[in-house]
Amino acid sequence: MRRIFLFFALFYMSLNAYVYNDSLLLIYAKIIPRIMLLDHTKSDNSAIKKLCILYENGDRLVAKRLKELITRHLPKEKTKFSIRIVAKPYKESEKCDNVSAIVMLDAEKEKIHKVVEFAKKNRILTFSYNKSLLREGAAISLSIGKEIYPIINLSALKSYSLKLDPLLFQIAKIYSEGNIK
Amino acid sequence: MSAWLRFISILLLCHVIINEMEAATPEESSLLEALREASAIAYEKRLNIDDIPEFVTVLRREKLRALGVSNLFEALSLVPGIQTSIMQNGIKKVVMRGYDNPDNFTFDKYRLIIDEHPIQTSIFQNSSYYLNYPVELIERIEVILGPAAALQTSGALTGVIKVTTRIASPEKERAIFVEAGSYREKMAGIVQKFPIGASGDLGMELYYRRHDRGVDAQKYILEGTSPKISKSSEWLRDYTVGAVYNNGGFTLTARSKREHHGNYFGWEEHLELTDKPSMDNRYLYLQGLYKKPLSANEDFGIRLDYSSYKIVSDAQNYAETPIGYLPYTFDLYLSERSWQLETFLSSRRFENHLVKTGFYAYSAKQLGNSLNISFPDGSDTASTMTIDHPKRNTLSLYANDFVTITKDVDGQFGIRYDRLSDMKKGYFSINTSLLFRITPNWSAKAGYGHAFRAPSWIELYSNRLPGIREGDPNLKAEEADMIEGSIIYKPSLHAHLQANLYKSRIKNLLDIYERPRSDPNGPGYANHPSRSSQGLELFYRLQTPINHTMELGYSYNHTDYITERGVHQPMPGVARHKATAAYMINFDASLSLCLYCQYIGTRPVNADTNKEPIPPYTTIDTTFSYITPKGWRLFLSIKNIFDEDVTNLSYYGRHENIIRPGRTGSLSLEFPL
Repeated sequence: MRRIFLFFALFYMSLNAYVYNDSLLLIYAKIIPRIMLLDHTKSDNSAIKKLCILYENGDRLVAKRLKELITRHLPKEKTKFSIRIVAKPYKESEKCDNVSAIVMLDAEKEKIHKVVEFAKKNRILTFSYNKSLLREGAAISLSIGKEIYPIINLSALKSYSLKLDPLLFQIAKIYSEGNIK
Repeated sequence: MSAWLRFISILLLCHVIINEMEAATPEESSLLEALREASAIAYEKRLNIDDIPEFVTVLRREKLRALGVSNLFEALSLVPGIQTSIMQNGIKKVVMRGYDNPDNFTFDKYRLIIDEHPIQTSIFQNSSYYLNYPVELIERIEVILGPAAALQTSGALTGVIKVTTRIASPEKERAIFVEAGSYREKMAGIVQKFPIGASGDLGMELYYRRHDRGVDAQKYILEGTSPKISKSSEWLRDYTVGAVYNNGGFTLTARSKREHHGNYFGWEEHLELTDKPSMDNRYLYLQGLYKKPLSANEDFGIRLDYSSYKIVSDAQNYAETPIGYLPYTFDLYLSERSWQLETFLSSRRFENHLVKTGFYAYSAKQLGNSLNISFPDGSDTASTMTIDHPKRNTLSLYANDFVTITKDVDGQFGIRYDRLSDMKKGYFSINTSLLFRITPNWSAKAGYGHAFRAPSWIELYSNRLPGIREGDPNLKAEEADMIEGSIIYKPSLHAHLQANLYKSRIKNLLDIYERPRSDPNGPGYANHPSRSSQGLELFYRLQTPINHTMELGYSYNHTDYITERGVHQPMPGVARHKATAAYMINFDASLSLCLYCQYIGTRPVNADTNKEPIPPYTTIDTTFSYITPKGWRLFLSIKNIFDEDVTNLSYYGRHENIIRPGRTGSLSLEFPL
């Protein structure tokens, strides 16, 4: 048994990449742009809304895959806006200052906090792949159960001063003080 | 009058305004539609198994490849509650929650379903030849432990293994894969999908594996005989060819599977004189499936399956004579063909209910049936294995209701009735389960299942011949009952803890007590007293803090067994304790390493044999995987890296244990097309 522990100890090293499920990425890809279209925070008349995917270096291919999936599943219906997507590593998150929304792939808490502060300052909607990032201040995530629901972080929304379509509040679950209701 | 007109006008105006207010904008409609599609994807991909009442375990190809798993058989050994072993003659066994028949090797107590086709034969009721099916052709495997007939298909006494192949999944799968490994193992295959017309596609799969494995088998040489081989005859030639055509609601599937292998240590654990004798299983099926939405709430489907099964077994054994052991051969040929017809209707007409009802018919007929025993002096015995041309017709009705009882409670209630022509009797199967969402992170499940397994034709109708166990046409079907409870903690996508508790019982259990062939009164197949099984399964998965994935599994099982002399003991060959640990590191999106450790505890043997229990073992496997920028996938696996002694239960109790190979390695590549 000692050899087993030795093996596990030997390989317990820290590098930067998470594990993602391709089907879950597809679900996020379908939902995110459609929620973006229901974000009425910035009342500019620009016909383009920009989305920024932030990733750890090890997740570059995942970000690329998510970008492809979002592009492929953009709403076909005629909507007021079109959506353009960029993917940036976390260290370049400041370059996402002119976007409408940010998708946060998994990362260390410090990086998440930094992006959340940045998003609050610039009134940018944030999505997290992992719903546990709601605790760190992400604005929206998804509940993957029998049915798929958006989860809205109420306190984050208030601090971001975001204005979302009332429909979202009708269909979403609400995250508040650590509980999802 | 004018007041009335004004009043009606105001009402109409209000109605128009309210309608206008309630009408969804294109953006809102688009989101609602996307949420519906996403829910359908989550259900289709089994992403939400913790949020449905059924007890299902799902294994996906990506994870299986990362763990170094090469085929269905190896994949099943990962599931807590399942133990796998190989018998002396090469037949693979999958034992679910302890229910084994240590002296009875040919009959599955579970049901294997490949792409909506239940592998169903009446001669042997065995599907072990499908267990070599390679992971490269699999999209996912769903496992239900416990009686699941009302949910899936009849005969699922101890569980269901449901395989969804890559060519049957909606993704555009195109890849070539090759593998080379120890014991001159070579494997190659292709999975390819072509678009046909505006809405159709054709998927094709082809796979071939061969190896010349053999382990030292000196102690299996019968004294006084001189085999030309000293190693077990474990060579394998295995292939699958399949095609799936999809267009609209139509799906046409054809798949042929063949497994041809040596007789390992010999049918009675006496090494054969050469490695020529073999067992050859072939299974072919053709399936036509049509699904059509009848309305916004109703879907209709019909499927028609034809299948044919053949087994050709050439074996060689030794007869005890006054002048010593005399080698003789026996050649067994059995074949059958069967039809399955199923129609089903699912309805969401009633709020919070998804009701599925169906009718199922199965008809099987034995075609080939011969057994020839030949001695070197030219004396041959030509006979049949069973009575001539047995038939079985089954008619079934089933209904399942998946219901949302409250916001936090879902239920599933299923009932099935099967009437079998040769048993002249009908049987009910029941599955019912509840899911309670205690908090967003905690949920609990509780369930009850009842199912039956009708005896195979071998158990019912085998002729009384030297060396052949006699069947009994008066056998009753064995019937299982199980209660199960489960608690799940899932705080995020990256953490999951589950504990299952179960207790079950099989009555009219079908089994046999093995006796030496020389015993003229050796008992045949019979219904034995009830056996019960109880246990605990734990599973924990954590992806933290960055890039590490750890999975821990543990199962405890105690299953009763009564020996021929009446000794009550735990099930021979089944470990009470099984533990697994997997540790995966993604160095980046292209390079990962996995360590997989499996502990199998001490396994008891039949107390009548006065032998020592089978010792525990711990194996560690490691797999490196690398994805090139062009998307090529490379997997380097070393299994049992410390060359631990791995042994299985000796069927006849002749030798200490059945020896399995030690350390092995393999290198596999997958090229996207």
